[in-house]
Amino acid sequence: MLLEIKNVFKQVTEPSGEIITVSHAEHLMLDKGGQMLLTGPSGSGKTTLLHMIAGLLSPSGGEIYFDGVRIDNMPEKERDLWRARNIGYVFQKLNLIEALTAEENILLAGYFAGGNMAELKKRAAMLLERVGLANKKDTLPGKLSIGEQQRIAVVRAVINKPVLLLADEPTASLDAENSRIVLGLLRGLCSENGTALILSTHDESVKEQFDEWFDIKGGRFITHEHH
Amino acid sequence: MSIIKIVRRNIMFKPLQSLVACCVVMASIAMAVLVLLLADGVHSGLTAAAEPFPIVAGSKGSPNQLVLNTVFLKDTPMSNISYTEVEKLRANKNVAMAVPFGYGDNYRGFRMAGTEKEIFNYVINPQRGKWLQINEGRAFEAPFEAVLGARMAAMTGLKVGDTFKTSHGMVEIPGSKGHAQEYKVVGILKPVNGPYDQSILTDIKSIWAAHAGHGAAVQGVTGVLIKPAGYAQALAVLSQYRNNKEMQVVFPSQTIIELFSVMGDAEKVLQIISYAVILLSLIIIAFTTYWAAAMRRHDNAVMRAIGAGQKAIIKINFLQGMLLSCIGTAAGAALGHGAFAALAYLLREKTAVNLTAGFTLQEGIMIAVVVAAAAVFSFIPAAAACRRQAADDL
Repeated sequence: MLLEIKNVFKQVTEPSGEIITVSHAEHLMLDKGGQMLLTGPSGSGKTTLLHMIAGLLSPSGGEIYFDGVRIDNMPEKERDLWRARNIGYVFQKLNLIEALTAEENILLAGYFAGGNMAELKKRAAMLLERVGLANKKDTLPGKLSIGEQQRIAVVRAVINKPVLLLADEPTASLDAENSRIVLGLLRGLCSENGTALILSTHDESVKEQFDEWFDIKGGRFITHEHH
Repeated sequence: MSIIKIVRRNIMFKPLQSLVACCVVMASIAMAVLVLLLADGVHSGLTAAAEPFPIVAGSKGSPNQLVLNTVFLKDTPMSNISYTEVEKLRANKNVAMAVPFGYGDNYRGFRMAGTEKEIFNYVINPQRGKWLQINEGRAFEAPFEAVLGARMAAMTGLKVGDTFKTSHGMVEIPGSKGHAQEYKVVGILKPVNGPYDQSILTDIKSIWAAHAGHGAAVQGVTGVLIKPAGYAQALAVLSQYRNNKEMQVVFPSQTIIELFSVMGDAEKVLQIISYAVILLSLIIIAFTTYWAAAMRRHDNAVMRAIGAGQKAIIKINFLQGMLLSCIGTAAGAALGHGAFAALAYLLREKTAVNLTAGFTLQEGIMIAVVVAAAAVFSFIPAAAACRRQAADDL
């Protein structure tokens, strides 16, 4: 078992003083190398749950275990290191550093994880070739199309061969063609590296490609019936 | 990839924003430095100009005017005193040396200073050595021979062997009739870094001869440079002439101090302005570093999400804030010194008074305070960025 979530929830206080629960997951498990689709309408708490799993947001309650180690109450410094070594993240918004080139954005994740720069550069070149953007490695994100930026974000997320890749609506701002490319890339790269994947979406066409998904609103797994 | 590279990229990515941040800091520091240097430089410049004149004597009247006449070669010359007073001073056991000065003529606006050959042997003090030293040619030996100040020679192009005619008065009036006598340049002085760089020295007998027909007091002098035999003797000379009805004896450095004390309020205002400018620059630095950090909030969150530790985030933000502040501070200090040098140059051109101000302790403290403040202002938002939940800024 790679990931186990036990009754994790996040509450926020509204300006009116009312406390509301923005995300709740009763029980959720993911095996090493497994792939999971997280579904639910906008505002159902998918992003919040992914942030809590990545240690970017502290849950209001519950427990999160990663490879048997509880991570939700880890000290901040320790959690930063844990995240750098284990987690890859593809954001809903593109979130590339605008001042850095495509290649530098990719290498940045490796640098923070303390990787060997020469090896990282080699791997980045290979991955850029793979996503068809080898000739854009020195281009700033602002000069890339949305689809190209998302492919760079995927490469950045897998550069360290993470144990778990979290992809938050990675196809939300893409057209059908780019959506298919990015999704294929994510799943392919994860399979090759033995990386587990949690992919959140509200896109019905994405659901079509998975056998099973976890519906956050209903708090249960739903098995897809192929037509 | 390195922290420095990220910082450099961040700064270069928004060059205008970085430039504005630098320029704002630079302008405020330059202003503060300039105010500090002016306050210091004017005082030390005037005091340095007065150094060769421990005591001056002249006719009874305004001590300020006497100092302006003799030390700074400015203002209308006071009425003359008799040359016999110079002889009396020379006979005074408290006086080591007494050299007369007579003013009243000019060449192209440069003042003639009639004096005696002895002035070339005048030693200000053992450290400074001789005040007036010949750079080229020789000292004057006879009437109507002239020795030019270094700057005067450079500005007029007069050389040893050249001749010129003077006009009566302190400034040249176009079309006015000059003196008939012709002066011959026999020497050029080494720079003295003071008003006498713009003077023309000649035998005082030349001045007497030139004015023989103008009804001026025969064998009169405007001022006398007195070198006292010692500190106690200086006070004795002052005391001897305190009640003299014809003459006054003044310490130019004292007159300058009094002048500054009269202007005390103005100096205080200048000081308050400089403190206000420093305070303003600190506020500006705080604002610019906070503003820059706020602009980086999203990037900080992204970097944390992809694995950056708190240390790395603090380093990036701190270095970026410090780099912009330090560049701005260094450029501001350089600009302040540059502006001061330009003002000093203009003043030197006009008066030959050298405003001397180097890197002062006060300026050093100010820069240290600004850099320390920049460090604090850079660290606070950097540390604050780490205290925030990264998810809030994604």
